[in-house]
Amino acid sequence: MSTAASSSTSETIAEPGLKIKVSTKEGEVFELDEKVAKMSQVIRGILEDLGEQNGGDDSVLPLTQVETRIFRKILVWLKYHAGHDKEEAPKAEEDEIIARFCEEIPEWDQKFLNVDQAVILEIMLAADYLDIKKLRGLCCKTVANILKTKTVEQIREMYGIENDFTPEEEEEIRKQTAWCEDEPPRQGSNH
Amino acid sequence: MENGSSKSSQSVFLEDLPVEVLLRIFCFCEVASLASVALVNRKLSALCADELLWRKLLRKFFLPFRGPSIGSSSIEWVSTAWRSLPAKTQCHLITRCKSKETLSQQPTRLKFPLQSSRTSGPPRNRLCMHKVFVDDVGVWTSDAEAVVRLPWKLQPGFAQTLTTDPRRAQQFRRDDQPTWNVGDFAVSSRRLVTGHWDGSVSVRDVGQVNEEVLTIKPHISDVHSVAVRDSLVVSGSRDHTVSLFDLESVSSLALINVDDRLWSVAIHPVDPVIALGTSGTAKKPVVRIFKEPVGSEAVKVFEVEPSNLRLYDFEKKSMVGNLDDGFKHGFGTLGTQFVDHQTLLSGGHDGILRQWDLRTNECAIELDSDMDSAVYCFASDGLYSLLSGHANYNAVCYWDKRFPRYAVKTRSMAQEVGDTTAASSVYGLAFTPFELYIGLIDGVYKTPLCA
Repeated sequence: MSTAASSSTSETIAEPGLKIKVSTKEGEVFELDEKVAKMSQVIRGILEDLGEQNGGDDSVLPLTQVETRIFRKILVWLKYHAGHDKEEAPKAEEDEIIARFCEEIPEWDQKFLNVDQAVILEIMLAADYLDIKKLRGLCCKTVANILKTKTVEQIREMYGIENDFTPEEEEEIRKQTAWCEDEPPRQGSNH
Repeated sequence: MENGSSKSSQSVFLEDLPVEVLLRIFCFCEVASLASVALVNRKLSALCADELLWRKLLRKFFLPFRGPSIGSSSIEWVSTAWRSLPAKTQCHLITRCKSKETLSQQPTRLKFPLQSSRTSGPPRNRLCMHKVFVDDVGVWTSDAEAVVRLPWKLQPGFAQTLTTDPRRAQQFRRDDQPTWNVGDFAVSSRRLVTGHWDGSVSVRDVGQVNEEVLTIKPHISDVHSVAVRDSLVVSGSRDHTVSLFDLESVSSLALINVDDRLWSVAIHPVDPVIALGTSGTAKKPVVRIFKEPVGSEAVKVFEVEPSNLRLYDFEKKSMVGNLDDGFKHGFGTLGTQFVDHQTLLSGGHDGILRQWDLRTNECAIELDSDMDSAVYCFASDGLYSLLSGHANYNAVCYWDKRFPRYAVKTRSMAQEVGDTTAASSVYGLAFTPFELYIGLIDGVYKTPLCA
């Protein structure tokens, strides 16, 4: 683990400005640029709470729920977006920004999440824990897109889920949801 | 977990994801995907019924830009009823325009005991134009003799279909007259306003107390249409005049002669504006405004362009817009209704139901049934659904505003009703979220909008 830690710290490009140290579940320490670190609302919150009294550079924020393997992935995403995203609008419109971002997932992000679905889910949980809403939304939308192409049987198979309905219950739900099969009419479209 | 690839780590979905994370994924799903997910197992099925999830979907897919409707008390009530339904039910109802089941069921006639006030003479002919109105109290209809109110059986919870209680049916009529001869009626804030064939307009308190507030006689001929907003009562008559009366000060605000027969009047929900639907027969109409009804000197006289639908500002005392889609001589506007502060509906002899955008005074949606049959009445639920009732074949057309080119369904009620009414026109229409009430010549019928 110590070799991995040293390699990861060398990954961060030396830049003037504050560095934030975080440690993963396995105890590996990463040094992040302040801008990158603050994309996590959780880290941002902790830093703001600590305020000026945190003078010592030696303090490390423990991210006990995030595995190194997943944190590395997230770090790639954070660094890319820290460099590429424009100034975000005020918080009130955050939901809207995420919705728009997810409606058409940019190519880079599509490639980024072109991984095993289990990994996407783990990234999503970590993003939830770190409160990185945009990444979390991106993962949710990607999973939703996968679900869209699957039948009921395929979903069961994909996640190894048992069908625990009685045939009557299943029929009842099928009846109740029959209307859902029609695509909802879109605003402004014509026959 | 570190190296776990296929089976064990893939089950992370069900085993490890907290409910709120699952719901967050579902928020990004389309309705059709959720139908599949709901069939996977019990746990997911229960999650797919989540109210907050459906509220988000409702906003995202179904009602993206909807503000409150404040047009008429009926539309207001229906949209309140809508909003109190579970979000999933709302989503379902909004897709009914695609369903084959829409308006496919047999209408049934509402039964309510009617006691004729006539004790002698020939039996009254009960055939008449039944107008229909619904609000939180129940279904209202006008009979030649009286206005009848059929209260809802339950206090509306909207989770289930509303039914009326015939035993609690109530008749409102004038005590001093054997017949009331109602041309039109309007209900607002427990006030019932009626316009009569003799040119009079009555206001009745129909809340806790049931008593006549006042009767005025601003017109000299049939009152075709009445409207009420707060203390303002507007009536339009065959005698070419519109009366504006204030109930608070108990005084006439104005009498306007528009040089043309009035078929329909409506009051703007906010502005001091009224819509006037006329017969469109005057070639060079002259408007004369009087302070007091009949007999006094005109305060203001001016010429206007021929039109069958006008907006009049009663504070400025001037016409503020002609709503014309190419004026056609003699094509009367038989009905007008404000849906909200910038939307007006109108229908008439040309058989087309129109939605007007009051920001530009232009026709935004034109619904033509191609039946060549006058629109006698219409109803809006304040959302996407519109219904038009026609002069011939007992025809009711169901429209979805998002698809204005064709009626979703055209239904003739003729086969359902008896011989006497085979030729009935549709005189009244009203909505609840689940049902449609239709006023024909021999009574009021009810039919589910969707199975």
